[in-house]
Amino acid sequence: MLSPEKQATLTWLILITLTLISVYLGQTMQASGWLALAVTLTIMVKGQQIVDVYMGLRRAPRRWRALLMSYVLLVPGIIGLVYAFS
Amino acid sequence: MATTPIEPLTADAANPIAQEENPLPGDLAMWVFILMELTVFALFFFSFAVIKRLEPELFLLGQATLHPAIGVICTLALITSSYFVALAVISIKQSNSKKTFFHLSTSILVASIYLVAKMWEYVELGSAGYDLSTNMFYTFYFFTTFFHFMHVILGMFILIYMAIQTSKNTYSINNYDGFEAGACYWHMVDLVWIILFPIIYVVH
Repeated sequence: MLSPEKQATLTWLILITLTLISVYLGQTMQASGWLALAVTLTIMVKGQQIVDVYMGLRRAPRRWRALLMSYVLLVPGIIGLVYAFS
Repeated sequence: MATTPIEPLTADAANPIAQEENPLPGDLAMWVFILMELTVFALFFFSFAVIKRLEPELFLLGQATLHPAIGVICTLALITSSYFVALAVISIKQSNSKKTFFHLSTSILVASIYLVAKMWEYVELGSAGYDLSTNMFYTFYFFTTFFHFMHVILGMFILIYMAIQTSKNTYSINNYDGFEAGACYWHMVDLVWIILFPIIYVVH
């Protein structure tokens, strides 16, 4: 199991990498539902990392984690759908 | 014949993972505040998405006047700032005030890159003649990003307060709820930008 410092560093690397990937996709892909889907997925993973690792909710009371996780999944999900079909 | 009563299985007894649950980081009031803030931002995000749906041309033209590099700089600055706040929380739990102060100071310094970059973009757009009243895209762009900008400033004041209290050794291994609450607020500011950045700068 990773130490808290290493876990935080790993999360930072994941967040940076996903940010750069989403920018690359935005610059190179044609506007399409696939672009919206790919970017939405990066937002969801980034949100999960912030909620679980940085906010420390991975082992917090389940209802609180569920509330925050539903936010990082539902909000980008709904926006992604609107973008994909516009 | 006497029967042994069977104790009902509680959720915790049934699920070994539940037994490892930690208390909510920080304090409850801050979490309620964070949820309220997130709800308000969600309404902004949905409004933005609806504009994109109703006025795709207007949206694309508006998006083309923004500076994607500034969006990337702001994102990297906030992510890195959040990372140092996460390290500060780890340090305070180890009662290492010196290290905590260093992490918080670095976090504030990195966050100021966001402020400078965002202000530069506002000035650039302003000098090109774009403002709140130009069209619906700019109304939502300026309103939403400035609302977030104000949250970053508030979050930085909270981080500065936490750094001052750390230098006075106010927090300890038995007293860091306030510290965690402030850190969670800062992560909320980061979380909001993580969603806002692709909506404005990336997806076209």
